Amino acid sequence: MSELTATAGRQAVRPAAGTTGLVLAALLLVLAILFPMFVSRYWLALGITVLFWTSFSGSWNIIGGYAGQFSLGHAAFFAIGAYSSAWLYSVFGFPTLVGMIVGSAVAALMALCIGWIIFRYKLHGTYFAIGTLAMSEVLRVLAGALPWFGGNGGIPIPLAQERNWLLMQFQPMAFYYMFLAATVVIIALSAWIARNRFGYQLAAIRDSEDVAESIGISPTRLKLAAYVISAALAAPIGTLYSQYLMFVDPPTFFGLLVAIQVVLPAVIGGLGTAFGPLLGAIVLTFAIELSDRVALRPGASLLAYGAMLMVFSVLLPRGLWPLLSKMLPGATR
Amino acid sequence: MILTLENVARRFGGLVALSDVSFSVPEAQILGIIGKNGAGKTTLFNLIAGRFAPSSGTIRFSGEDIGGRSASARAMAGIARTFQIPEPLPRLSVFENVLAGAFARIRDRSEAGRLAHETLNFCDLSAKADVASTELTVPELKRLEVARALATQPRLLLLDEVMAGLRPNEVDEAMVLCRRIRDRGVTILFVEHVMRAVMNLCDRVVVLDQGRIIADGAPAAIRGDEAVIDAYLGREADA
Repeated sequence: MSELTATAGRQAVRPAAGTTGLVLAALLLVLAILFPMFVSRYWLALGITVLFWTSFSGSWNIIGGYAGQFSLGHAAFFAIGAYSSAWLYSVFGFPTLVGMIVGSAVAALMALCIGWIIFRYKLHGTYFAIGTLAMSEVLRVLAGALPWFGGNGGIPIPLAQERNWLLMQFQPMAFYYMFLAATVVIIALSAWIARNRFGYQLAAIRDSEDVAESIGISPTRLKLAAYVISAALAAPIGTLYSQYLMFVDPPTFFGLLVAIQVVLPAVIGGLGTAFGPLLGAIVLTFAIELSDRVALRPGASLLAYGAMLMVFSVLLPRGLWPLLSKMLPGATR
Repeated sequence: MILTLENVARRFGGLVALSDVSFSVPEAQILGIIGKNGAGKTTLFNLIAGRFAPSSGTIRFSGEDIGGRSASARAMAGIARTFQIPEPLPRLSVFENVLAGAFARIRDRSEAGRLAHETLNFCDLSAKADVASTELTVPELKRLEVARALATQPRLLLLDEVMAGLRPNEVDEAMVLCRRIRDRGVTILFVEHVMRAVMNLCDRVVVLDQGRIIADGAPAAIRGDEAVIDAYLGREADA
Protein backbone atom coordinates (compact mmCIF):
# COMPACT_ATOMS: atom_id res chain seq x y z
CA MET A 1 0.00 0.00 0.00
CA SER A 2 2.76 2.43 0.89
CA GLU A 3 4.04 2.86 -2.64
CA LEU A 4 0.60 3.74 -3.92
CA THR A 5 -0.40 7.36 -3.99
CA ALA A 6 -3.15 8.36 -1.60
CA THR A 7 -5.76 8.66 -4.32
CA ALA A 8 -4.91 5.40 -6.04
CA GLY A 9 -4.99 3.63 -2.68
CA ARG A 10 -8.44 4.91 -1.97
CA GLN A 11 -9.72 3.86 -5.35
CA ALA A 12 -8.28 0.40 -4.84
CA VAL A 13 -10.09 -0.17 -1.55
CA ARG A 14 -13.54 -0.69 -3.05
CA PRO A 15 -12.99 -3.52 -5.55
CA ALA A 16 -10.82 -5.37 -3.02
CA ALA A 17 -13.52 -5.06 -0.37
CA GLY A 18 -16.03 -6.31 -2.94
CA THR A 19 -14.01 -9.49 -3.47
CA THR A 20 -13.95 -10.33 0.25
CA GLY A 21 -17.67 -9.69 0.38
CA LEU A 22 -18.22 -12.02 -2.56
CA VAL A 23 -16.22 -14.79 -0.90
CA LEU A 24 -18.23 -14.45 2.31
CA ALA A 25 -21.48 -14.41 0.38
CA ALA A 26 -20.45 -17.54 -1.55
CA LEU A 27 -19.61 -19.33 1.72
CA LEU A 28 -22.98 -18.37 3.11
CA LEU A 29 -24.66 -19.68 -0.02
CA VAL A 30 -22.87 -23.03 0.22
CA LEU A 31 -24.00 -23.35 3.84
CA ALA A 32 -27.57 -22.49 2.82
CA ILE A 33 -27.49 -25.11 0.06
CA LEU A 34 -26.21 -27.82 2.42
CA PHE A 35 -28.50 -26.88 5.32
CA PRO A 36 -31.62 -28.98 4.42
CA MET A 37 -29.55 -32.13 4.03
CA PHE A 38 -28.64 -32.23 7.71
CA VAL A 39 -31.69 -30.96 9.55
CA SER A 40 -35.11 -32.14 10.77
CA ARG A 41 -38.40 -31.12 9.17
CA TYR A 42 -38.86 -28.57 11.93
CA TRP A 43 -35.62 -26.82 11.08
CA LEU A 44 -36.37 -27.09 7.38
CA ALA A 45 -39.68 -25.30 7.97
CA LEU A 46 -37.86 -22.58 9.91
CA GLY A 47 -35.37 -22.29 7.05
CA ILE A 48 -38.21 -21.88 4.56
CA THR A 49 -39.77 -19.21 6.78
CA VAL A 50 -36.49 -17.31 6.96
CA LEU A 51 -35.90 -17.46 3.19
CA PHE A 52 -39.52 -16.58 2.44
CA TRP A 53 -39.36 -13.45 4.59
CA THR A 54 -35.91 -12.57 3.28
CA SER A 55 -36.99 -12.64 -0.33
CA PHE A 56 -40.35 -10.99 0.31
CA SER A 57 -38.89 -8.26 2.48
CA GLY A 58 -36.01 -7.92 0.02
CA SER A 59 -38.50 -7.11 -2.71
CA TRP A 60 -40.05 -4.44 -0.47
CA ASN A 61 -36.58 -3.10 0.33
CA ILE A 62 -36.15 -1.75 -3.23
CA ILE A 63 -38.97 0.77 -2.83
CA GLY A 64 -39.02 0.96 0.98
CA GLY A 65 -35.30 0.90 1.70
CA TYR A 66 -33.31 1.99 -1.34
CA ALA A 67 -35.87 4.51 -2.58
CA GLY A 68 -36.95 5.39 0.97
CA GLN A 69 -40.67 5.22 0.21
CA PHE A 70 -42.26 3.43 3.14
CA SER A 71 -44.89 1.34 1.38
CA LEU A 72 -47.51 -0.34 3.56
CA GLY A 73 -49.29 -1.82 0.56
CA HIS A 74 -46.71 -4.35 -0.50
CA ALA A 75 -49.03 -7.22 0.46
CA ALA A 76 -51.17 -6.28 -2.55
CA PHE A 77 -48.48 -7.26 -5.07
CA PHE A 78 -47.69 -10.43 -3.15
CA ALA A 79 -51.40 -11.32 -3.20
CA ILE A 80 -51.75 -10.46 -6.89
CA GLY A 81 -49.04 -13.03 -7.60
CA ALA A 82 -50.71 -15.67 -5.42
CA TYR A 83 -54.20 -15.03 -6.78
CA SER A 84 -53.07 -14.92 -10.41
CA SER A 85 -51.49 -18.34 -10.40
CA ALA A 86 -54.10 -19.97 -8.14
CA TRP A 87 -57.02 -18.55 -10.11
CA LEU A 88 -55.57 -19.24 -13.56
CA TYR A 89 -54.77 -22.82 -12.52
CA SER A 90 -57.97 -23.68 -10.64
CA VAL A 91 -60.35 -22.08 -13.17
CA PHE A 92 -58.57 -22.43 -16.51
CA GLY A 93 -55.95 -25.04 -15.78
CA PHE A 94 -53.03 -22.77 -16.72
CA PRO A 95 -49.69 -24.08 -15.42
CA THR A 96 -48.61 -22.31 -12.24
CA LEU A 97 -45.44 -21.07 -13.85
CA VAL A 98 -47.49 -19.21 -16.44
CA GLY A 99 -49.69 -17.80 -13.67
CA MET A 100 -46.58 -16.69 -11.84
CA ILE A 101 -45.33 -14.74 -14.85
CA VAL A 102 -48.77 -13.25 -15.49
CA GLY A 103 -49.01 -12.29 -11.80
CA SER A 104 -45.67 -10.54 -11.95
CA ALA A 105 -46.76 -8.58 -15.01
CA VAL A 106 -50.11 -7.65 -13.46
CA ALA A 107 -48.39 -6.52 -10.25
CA ALA A 108 -45.92 -4.42 -12.24
CA LEU A 109 -48.75 -2.83 -14.21
CA MET A 110 -50.68 -2.17 -11.02
CA ALA A 111 -47.61 -0.53 -9.46
CA LEU A 112 -47.15 1.56 -12.58
CA CYS A 113 -50.72 2.90 -12.43
CA ILE A 114 -50.92 3.42 -8.66
CA GLY A 115 -47.36 4.71 -8.48
CA TRP A 116 -47.90 7.15 -11.30
CA ILE A 117 -50.80 8.73 -9.42
CA ILE A 118 -49.06 8.66 -6.03
CA PHE A 119 -45.70 10.02 -7.17
CA ARG A 120 -47.16 12.43 -9.69
CA TYR A 121 -49.16 14.09 -6.92
CA LYS A 122 -46.15 13.92 -4.63
CA LEU A 123 -47.45 11.84 -1.74
CA HIS A 124 -44.50 11.61 0.64
CA GLY A 125 -43.72 9.79 3.86
CA THR A 126 -46.81 9.01 5.90
CA TYR A 127 -49.13 9.93 3.05
CA PHE A 128 -47.39 7.47 0.78
CA ALA A 129 -47.62 4.78 3.47
CA ILE A 130 -51.34 5.43 4.00
CA GLY A 131 -52.05 5.69 0.27
CA THR A 132 -50.44 2.35 -0.50
CA LEU A 133 -52.12 0.75 2.51
CA ALA A 134 -55.50 2.00 1.28
CA MET A 135 -54.84 0.54 -2.16
CA SER A 136 -54.02 -2.83 -0.64
CA GLU A 137 -57.09 -2.76 1.63
CA VAL A 138 -59.40 -1.92 -1.27
CA LEU A 139 -58.04 -4.93 -3.16
CA ARG A 140 -58.46 -7.14 -0.09
CA VAL A 141 -62.11 -6.16 0.30
CA LEU A 142 -62.63 -6.59 -3.42
CA ALA A 143 -61.09 -10.07 -3.42
CA GLY A 144 -63.32 -11.04 -0.51
CA ALA A 145 -66.44 -9.66 -2.18
CA LEU A 146 -65.99 -11.22 -5.60
CA PRO A 147 -67.15 -14.84 -5.71
CA TRP A 148 -65.27 -15.15 -8.97
CA PHE A 149 -62.03 -14.98 -7.00
CA GLY A 150 -63.25 -17.27 -4.26
CA GLY A 151 -64.71 -14.59 -1.99
CA ASN A 152 -63.75 -14.62 1.66
CA GLY A 153 -63.02 -18.32 1.57
CA GLY A 154 -60.31 -17.89 -1.01
CA ILE A 155 -59.22 -20.46 -3.57
CA PRO A 156 -57.93 -23.91 -2.62
CA ILE A 157 -55.30 -24.98 -5.11
CA PRO A 158 -56.37 -28.33 -6.63
CA LEU A 159 -53.90 -31.14 -6.21
CA ALA A 160 -52.16 -31.93 -9.47
CA GLN A 161 -53.18 -35.23 -11.08
CA GLU A 162 -49.84 -35.59 -12.87
CA ARG A 163 -46.26 -34.92 -11.95
CA ASN A 164 -45.43 -31.73 -13.79
CA TRP A 165 -42.89 -29.25 -12.49
CA LEU A 166 -44.71 -26.43 -14.29
CA LEU A 167 -47.51 -26.86 -11.73
CA MET A 168 -45.00 -26.14 -8.98
CA GLN A 169 -46.42 -28.54 -6.40
CA PHE A 170 -43.33 -29.62 -4.51
CA GLN A 171 -42.07 -31.21 -1.33
CA PRO A 172 -40.95 -28.76 1.38
CA MET A 173 -37.30 -29.31 0.51
CA ALA A 174 -37.92 -28.14 -3.05
CA PHE A 175 -39.69 -25.05 -1.70
CA TYR A 176 -36.67 -24.38 0.44
CA TYR A 177 -34.52 -24.25 -2.70
CA MET A 178 -37.08 -22.16 -4.60
CA PHE A 179 -37.10 -19.56 -1.83
CA LEU A 180 -33.33 -19.78 -1.65
CA ALA A 181 -33.14 -19.04 -5.38
CA ALA A 182 -35.51 -16.08 -4.92
CA THR A 183 -33.37 -14.85 -2.04
CA VAL A 184 -30.17 -15.09 -4.08
CA VAL A 185 -31.73 -13.26 -7.03
CA ILE A 186 -33.05 -10.45 -4.84
CA ILE A 187 -29.87 -10.03 -2.81
CA ALA A 188 -27.75 -10.01 -5.97
CA LEU A 189 -30.08 -7.52 -7.63
CA SER A 190 -30.05 -5.31 -4.52
CA ALA A 191 -26.27 -5.37 -4.32
CA TRP A 192 -26.04 -4.52 -8.01
CA ILE A 193 -28.49 -1.65 -7.65
CA ALA A 194 -26.63 -0.26 -4.63
CA ARG A 195 -23.35 -0.08 -6.52
CA ASN A 196 -24.65 1.41 -9.71
CA ARG A 197 -26.28 4.54 -11.08
CA PHE A 198 -29.84 3.52 -10.22
CA GLY A 199 -28.92 2.90 -6.59
CA TYR A 200 -27.06 6.18 -6.11
CA GLN A 201 -29.89 8.08 -7.74
CA LEU A 202 -32.39 6.34 -5.46
CA ALA A 203 -30.16 7.17 -2.49
CA ALA A 204 -30.19 10.83 -3.52
CA ILE A 205 -34.01 10.81 -3.69
CA ARG A 206 -34.24 9.04 -0.34
CA ASP A 207 -32.04 11.65 1.33
CA SER A 208 -33.27 14.81 -0.41
CA GLU A 209 -35.51 15.23 -3.43
CA ASP A 210 -34.33 18.83 -3.86
CA VAL A 211 -30.74 17.69 -4.16
CA ALA A 212 -31.76 14.80 -6.41
CA GLU A 213 -33.45 17.18 -8.82
CA SER A 214 -30.47 19.51 -8.75
CA ILE A 215 -28.28 16.70 -10.08
CA GLY A 216 -30.62 15.86 -12.91
CA ILE A 217 -32.74 13.12 -11.34
CA SER A 218 -36.47 12.99 -11.94
CA PRO A 219 -37.80 11.67 -8.60
CA THR A 220 -41.16 10.67 -10.08
CA ARG A 221 -39.59 8.50 -12.76
CA LEU A 222 -37.01 6.87 -10.52
CA LYS A 223 -39.45 6.12 -7.71
CA LEU A 224 -41.86 4.68 -10.24
CA ALA A 225 -39.14 2.40 -11.60
CA ALA A 226 -38.26 1.22 -8.08
CA TYR A 227 -41.92 0.65 -7.27
CA VAL A 228 -42.51 -1.41 -10.41
CA ILE A 229 -39.42 -3.56 -9.76
CA SER A 230 -40.51 -4.10 -6.14
CA ALA A 231 -43.97 -5.15 -7.23
CA ALA A 232 -42.77 -7.43 -10.02
CA LEU A 233 -40.51 -9.23 -7.52
CA ALA A 234 -43.15 -9.55 -4.79
CA ALA A 235 -45.70 -11.29 -7.02
CA PRO A 236 -43.68 -14.47 -7.82
CA ILE A 237 -42.95 -14.82 -4.11
CA GLY A 238 -46.71 -14.71 -3.56
CA THR A 239 -47.11 -17.51 -6.09
CA LEU A 240 -44.43 -19.61 -4.39
CA TYR A 241 -45.96 -19.05 -0.97
CA SER A 242 -49.45 -19.96 -2.15
CA GLN A 243 -48.06 -23.19 -3.66
CA TYR A 244 -46.38 -23.91 -0.34
CA LEU A 245 -49.70 -23.40 1.54
CA MET A 246 -51.87 -24.84 -1.28
CA PHE A 247 -54.51 -22.13 -0.92
CA VAL A 248 -55.02 -18.38 -1.24
CA ASP A 249 -57.42 -16.22 0.75
CA PRO A 250 -57.73 -12.50 1.44
CA PRO A 251 -56.46 -12.29 5.06
CA THR A 252 -53.40 -14.49 4.54
CA PHE A 253 -52.20 -12.65 1.44
CA PHE A 254 -53.76 -9.18 1.49
CA GLY A 255 -53.93 -8.80 5.27
CA LEU A 256 -52.65 -5.89 7.28
CA LEU A 257 -50.46 -8.29 9.23
CA VAL A 258 -48.59 -9.28 6.05
CA ALA A 259 -48.23 -5.63 5.08
CA ILE A 260 -46.46 -4.94 8.38
CA GLN A 261 -44.56 -8.23 8.59
CA VAL A 262 -42.92 -7.65 5.21
CA VAL A 263 -41.47 -4.36 6.40
CA LEU A 264 -39.95 -5.76 9.59
CA PRO A 265 -37.02 -7.87 8.32
CA ALA A 266 -35.69 -4.93 6.29
CA VAL A 267 -36.17 -2.49 9.17
CA ILE A 268 -34.54 -4.84 11.69
CA GLY A 269 -31.71 -5.89 9.41
CA GLY A 270 -31.07 -2.54 7.75
CA LEU A 271 -33.10 -0.49 5.29
CA GLY A 272 -31.55 -0.19 1.88
CA THR A 273 -28.90 -2.86 2.43
CA ALA A 274 -28.66 -6.06 0.38
CA PHE A 275 -28.23 -8.39 3.37
CA GLY A 276 -30.40 -6.47 5.82
CA PRO A 277 -33.61 -8.42 5.05
CA LEU A 278 -31.78 -11.75 5.53
CA LEU A 279 -30.35 -10.69 8.86
CA GLY A 280 -33.70 -9.28 9.92
CA ALA A 281 -35.62 -12.37 8.80
CA ILE A 282 -33.32 -14.64 10.84
CA VAL A 283 -33.66 -12.52 13.97
CA LEU A 284 -37.40 -12.08 13.49
CA THR A 285 -38.15 -15.75 12.80
CA PHE A 286 -36.41 -16.89 15.93
CA ALA A 287 -37.84 -14.10 18.04
CA ILE A 288 -41.38 -14.99 16.93
CA GLU A 289 -40.74 -18.70 17.40
CA LEU A 290 -39.48 -18.08 20.92
CA SER A 291 -42.24 -15.67 21.90
CA ASP A 292 -44.93 -18.07 20.67
CA ARG A 293 -43.38 -20.89 22.68
CA VAL A 294 -42.86 -18.88 25.82
CA ALA A 295 -46.30 -17.27 25.80
CA LEU A 296 -48.05 -20.29 24.31
CA ARG A 297 -50.61 -17.94 22.80
CA PRO A 298 -50.85 -17.15 19.11
CA GLY A 299 -51.29 -13.42 19.77
CA ALA A 300 -47.92 -13.13 21.48
CA SER A 301 -46.09 -12.80 18.18
CA LEU A 302 -48.19 -9.73 17.28
CA LEU A 303 -47.03 -8.09 20.46
CA ALA A 304 -43.47 -8.97 19.55
CA TYR A 305 -43.83 -7.39 16.07
CA GLY A 306 -45.05 -4.14 17.57
CA ALA A 307 -42.35 -4.11 20.21
CA MET A 308 -39.57 -4.84 17.71
CA LEU A 309 -40.78 -2.21 15.25
CA MET A 310 -40.73 0.39 18.03
CA VAL A 311 -37.41 -0.65 19.49
CA PHE A 312 -35.67 -0.67 16.12
CA SER A 313 -37.10 2.55 14.75
CA VAL A 314 -36.21 4.43 17.92
CA LEU A 315 -32.94 2.85 19.02
CA LEU A 316 -31.47 1.43 15.84
CA PRO A 317 -33.06 3.15 12.84
CA ARG A 318 -30.38 1.84 10.50
CA GLY A 319 -30.86 -1.73 11.64
CA LEU A 320 -28.40 -4.45 12.56
CA TRP A 321 -26.46 -4.64 9.31
CA PRO A 322 -24.32 -1.50 9.86
CA LEU A 323 -23.20 -2.98 13.20
CA LEU A 324 -22.38 -6.33 11.65
CA SER A 325 -20.73 -4.91 8.55
CA LYS A 326 -18.22 -3.05 10.71
CA MET A 327 -17.01 -6.43 11.92
CA LEU A 328 -16.81 -7.97 8.44
CA PRO A 329 -13.96 -6.56 6.41
CA GLY A 330 -15.55 -7.00 2.99
CA ALA A 331 -19.06 -5.83 3.65
CA THR A 332 -20.54 -2.99 1.70
CA ARG A 333 -23.88 -1.31 1.71
CA MET B 1 -25.20 34.40 -24.59
CA ILE B 2 -25.55 31.35 -22.40
CA LEU B 3 -28.33 32.73 -20.23
CA THR B 4 -30.88 35.38 -21.13
CA LEU B 5 -33.74 36.66 -19.01
CA GLU B 6 -36.39 38.80 -20.70
CA ASN B 7 -38.91 40.73 -18.62
CA VAL B 8 -39.05 37.99 -16.03
CA ALA B 9 -41.54 38.45 -13.22
CA ARG B 10 -42.61 36.24 -10.35
CA ARG B 11 -45.57 36.79 -8.10
CA PHE B 12 -46.50 34.83 -5.00
CA GLY B 13 -50.20 35.55 -4.55
CA GLY B 14 -50.38 39.32 -4.26
CA LEU B 15 -46.68 39.71 -3.54
CA VAL B 16 -44.49 40.70 -6.44
CA ALA B 17 -41.12 39.13 -5.69
CA LEU B 18 -39.52 40.01 -9.03
CA SER B 19 -40.65 42.25 -11.83
CA ASP B 20 -39.32 43.13 -15.23
CA VAL B 21 -35.94 41.47 -14.76
CA SER B 22 -33.88 41.36 -17.95
CA PHE B 23 -30.20 40.59 -18.32
CA SER B 24 -28.00 38.17 -20.14
CA VAL B 25 -24.77 36.40 -19.34
CA PRO B 26 -22.11 35.60 -21.93
CA GLU B 27 -20.23 32.30 -21.75
CA ALA B 28 -17.48 31.94 -19.12
CA GLN B 29 -18.37 35.12 -17.31
CA ILE B 30 -18.71 35.44 -13.55
CA LEU B 31 -21.87 37.32 -12.75
CA GLY B 32 -22.65 38.42 -9.20
CA ILE B 33 -26.13 39.14 -7.91
CA ILE B 34 -26.33 41.35 -4.86
CA GLY B 35 -29.06 43.06 -2.94
CA LYS B 36 -30.58 43.30 0.51
CA ASN B 37 -32.41 40.39 2.08
CA GLY B 38 -35.82 40.25 0.44
CA ALA B 39 -34.60 42.01 -2.70
CA GLY B 40 -35.49 38.95 -4.76
CA LYS B 41 -32.09 37.23 -5.10
CA THR B 42 -33.25 33.83 -3.94
CA THR B 43 -36.38 34.06 -6.08
CA LEU B 44 -34.22 34.87 -9.10
CA PHE B 45 -31.88 32.02 -8.26
CA ASN B 46 -34.76 29.56 -7.94
CA LEU B 47 -36.31 30.76 -11.19
CA ILE B 48 -33.12 29.98 -13.06
CA ALA B 49 -32.53 26.69 -11.22
CA GLY B 50 -36.12 25.65 -11.89
CA ARG B 51 -37.64 25.31 -8.46
CA PHE B 52 -40.55 27.28 -9.90
CA ALA B 53 -41.55 28.84 -13.20
CA PRO B 54 -41.70 32.59 -13.92
CA SER B 55 -45.15 34.20 -13.75
CA SER B 56 -44.29 35.98 -16.98
CA GLY B 57 -41.27 36.59 -19.18
CA THR B 58 -38.84 34.11 -20.68
CA ILE B 59 -35.66 32.45 -19.46
CA ARG B 60 -33.39 31.21 -22.23
CA PHE B 61 -30.49 28.86 -21.71
CA SER B 62 -28.20 28.72 -24.75
CA GLY B 63 -31.08 29.84 -26.93
CA GLU B 64 -33.76 27.49 -25.61
CA ASP B 65 -36.71 28.65 -23.56
CA ILE B 66 -36.41 26.68 -20.32
CA GLY B 67 -38.89 28.65 -18.17
CA GLY B 68 -41.37 25.79 -18.00
CA ARG B 69 -38.93 22.95 -17.43
CA SER B 70 -38.43 21.04 -14.20
CA ALA B 71 -35.37 21.46 -12.03
CA SER B 72 -34.04 18.07 -13.09
CA ALA B 73 -34.53 18.87 -16.78
CA ARG B 74 -32.55 22.07 -16.29
CA ALA B 75 -29.79 20.17 -14.55
CA MET B 76 -29.64 17.84 -17.53
CA ALA B 77 -29.60 20.85 -19.86
CA GLY B 78 -26.44 22.03 -18.09
CA ILE B 79 -27.47 24.21 -15.15
CA ALA B 80 -26.07 23.10 -11.79
CA ARG B 81 -26.71 24.67 -8.42
CA THR B 82 -25.54 24.64 -4.83
CA PHE B 83 -27.75 25.07 -1.78
CA GLN B 84 -27.36 28.02 0.55
CA ILE B 85 -27.64 25.75 3.56
CA PRO B 86 -25.43 22.85 2.46
CA GLU B 87 -27.44 19.71 1.83
CA PRO B 88 -25.07 16.76 1.80
CA LEU B 89 -26.79 13.43 1.20
CA PRO B 90 -26.28 12.33 4.82
CA ARG B 91 -26.15 8.57 4.37
CA LEU B 92 -23.55 8.77 1.62
CA SER B 93 -19.84 9.41 1.97
CA VAL B 94 -18.23 12.52 0.49
CA PHE B 95 -17.10 10.52 -2.53
CA GLU B 96 -20.56 9.00 -2.99
CA ASN B 97 -22.19 12.42 -2.84
CA VAL B 98 -20.07 13.56 -5.76
CA LEU B 99 -20.53 10.21 -7.50
CA ALA B 100 -24.32 10.74 -7.40
CA GLY B 101 -23.70 14.00 -9.25
CA ALA B 102 -21.36 12.36 -11.76
CA PHE B 103 -24.08 9.85 -12.67
CA ALA B 104 -26.06 12.71 -14.21
CA ARG B 105 -24.23 12.28 -17.49
CA ILE B 106 -22.33 9.02 -17.07
CA ARG B 107 -23.97 5.60 -16.79
CA ASP B 108 -20.86 3.52 -16.23
CA ARG B 109 -19.89 3.10 -12.58
CA SER B 110 -16.11 3.19 -12.96
CA GLU B 111 -16.16 6.11 -15.37
CA ALA B 112 -18.44 8.05 -13.02
CA GLY B 113 -16.11 7.11 -10.17
CA ARG B 114 -13.14 8.53 -12.06
CA LEU B 115 -14.94 11.81 -12.67
CA ALA B 116 -15.99 11.96 -9.00
CA HIS B 117 -12.38 11.49 -7.85
CA GLU B 118 -11.16 14.10 -10.30
CA THR B 119 -13.80 16.54 -9.11
CA LEU B 120 -12.98 15.89 -5.46
CA ASN B 121 -9.36 16.55 -6.27
CA PHE B 122 -10.25 19.75 -8.10
CA CYS B 123 -12.24 20.96 -5.09
CA ASP B 124 -9.49 19.93 -2.65
CA LEU B 125 -11.63 17.31 -0.94
CA SER B 126 -9.68 14.15 -1.86
CA ALA B 127 -8.47 13.70 1.69
CA LYS B 128 -12.09 13.49 2.86
CA ALA B 129 -13.36 11.16 0.13
CA ASP B 130 -14.34 8.29 2.42
CA VAL B 131 -15.56 10.37 5.33
CA ALA B 132 -19.31 10.54 6.08
CA SER B 133 -20.59 13.73 4.52
CA THR B 134 -22.09 14.80 7.83
CA GLU B 135 -18.65 14.99 9.43
CA LEU B 136 -17.36 17.84 7.28
CA THR B 137 -16.59 21.36 8.50
CA VAL B 138 -18.54 24.31 7.08
CA PRO B 139 -15.98 25.26 4.41
CA GLU B 140 -15.70 21.59 3.40
CA LEU B 141 -19.48 21.30 3.17
CA LYS B 142 -19.55 24.34 0.90
CA ARG B 143 -16.88 22.77 -1.29
CA LEU B 144 -18.84 19.52 -1.35
CA GLU B 145 -21.86 21.45 -2.63
CA VAL B 146 -19.68 22.83 -5.42
CA ALA B 147 -18.09 19.45 -6.16
CA ARG B 148 -21.44 17.64 -6.43
CA ALA B 149 -22.76 20.35 -8.73
CA LEU B 150 -19.59 20.34 -10.86
CA ALA B 151 -19.72 16.55 -11.23
CA THR B 152 -22.89 16.97 -13.28
CA GLN B 153 -20.65 18.67 -15.87
CA PRO B 154 -22.63 21.91 -16.08
CA ARG B 155 -22.15 24.84 -18.43
CA LEU B 156 -23.73 27.23 -15.96
CA LEU B 157 -23.07 26.99 -12.24
CA LEU B 158 -25.37 28.74 -9.80
CA LEU B 159 -23.71 29.39 -6.45
CA ASP B 160 -25.95 30.38 -3.55
CA GLU B 161 -23.89 32.21 -0.90
CA VAL B 162 -21.02 29.75 -0.97
CA MET B 163 -18.81 32.26 0.85
CA ALA B 164 -21.18 32.97 3.72
CA GLY B 165 -19.75 31.90 7.04
CA LEU B 166 -16.21 31.48 5.74
CA ARG B 167 -13.11 33.04 7.33
CA PRO B 168 -11.19 35.60 5.25
CA ASN B 169 -8.53 33.07 4.18
CA GLU B 170 -11.24 30.56 3.31
CA VAL B 171 -12.96 33.22 1.19
CA ASP B 172 -9.66 33.65 -0.67
CA GLU B 173 -9.52 29.90 -1.33
CA ALA B 174 -13.12 29.88 -2.50
CA MET B 175 -12.35 32.73 -4.88
CA VAL B 176 -9.43 30.81 -6.34
CA LEU B 177 -11.73 27.81 -6.82
CA CYS B 178 -14.35 29.97 -8.59
CA ARG B 179 -11.73 31.33 -10.99
CA ARG B 180 -10.49 27.83 -11.76
CA ILE B 181 -14.04 26.71 -12.48
CA ARG B 182 -14.52 29.66 -14.81
CA ASP B 183 -11.21 28.87 -16.51
CA ARG B 184 -12.69 25.50 -17.43
CA GLY B 185 -15.28 27.39 -19.44
CA VAL B 186 -18.11 27.19 -16.92
CA THR B 187 -20.22 30.31 -16.54
CA ILE B 188 -20.84 31.25 -12.92
CA LEU B 189 -23.78 33.14 -11.54
CA PHE B 190 -23.55 33.78 -7.85
CA VAL B 191 -25.64 35.31 -5.15
CA GLU B 192 -23.37 36.63 -2.46
CA HIS B 193 -23.16 39.01 0.47
CA VAL B 194 -19.38 38.92 0.89
CA MET B 195 -18.57 42.17 -0.94
CA ARG B 196 -14.85 41.55 -1.13
CA ALA B 197 -15.50 38.40 -3.15
CA VAL B 198 -18.12 40.06 -5.33
CA MET B 199 -15.91 43.00 -6.16
CA ASN B 200 -12.79 40.92 -6.82
CA LEU B 201 -14.31 38.02 -8.63
CA CYS B 202 -17.16 39.27 -10.77
CA ASP B 203 -16.88 40.43 -14.33
CA ARG B 204 -20.26 42.00 -13.84
CA VAL B 205 -22.67 42.67 -11.02
CA VAL B 206 -26.45 42.88 -11.09
CA VAL B 207 -28.01 44.73 -8.16
CA LEU B 208 -31.56 43.93 -7.10
CA ASP B 209 -33.77 46.06 -4.92
CA GLN B 210 -37.42 45.34 -4.21
CA GLY B 211 -37.61 42.86 -7.02
CA ARG B 212 -36.15 45.11 -9.69
CA ILE B 213 -32.73 45.56 -11.20
CA ILE B 214 -31.38 48.93 -10.10
CA ALA B 215 -27.89 48.56 -11.53
CA ASP B 216 -26.04 46.26 -13.90
CA GLY B 217 -22.38 46.77 -14.68
CA ALA B 218 -18.73 46.20 -13.83
CA PRO B 219 -17.88 46.07 -10.10
CA ALA B 220 -16.09 49.41 -10.22
CA ALA B 221 -19.11 51.14 -11.75
CA ILE B 222 -21.47 49.50 -9.25
CA ARG B 223 -19.36 50.71 -6.34
CA GLY B 224 -19.82 54.32 -7.41
CA ASP B 225 -23.49 54.04 -8.35
CA GLU B 226 -25.58 56.39 -6.21
CA ALA B 227 -28.68 54.19 -6.34
CA VAL B 228 -26.70 51.15 -5.24
CA ILE B 229 -25.02 53.02 -2.42
CA ASP B 230 -28.42 54.19 -1.20
CA ALA B 231 -30.12 50.86 -1.53
CA TYR B 232 -27.43 48.41 -0.50
CA LEU B 233 -23.82 49.39 0.02
CA GLY B 234 -24.52 52.31 2.34
CA ARG B 235 -22.83 55.72 2.62
CA GLU B 236 -20.07 54.71 4.98
CA ALA B 237 -19.22 51.56 3.11
CA ASP B 238 -15.81 51.70 1.54
CA ALA B 239 -15.31 48.35 -0.07
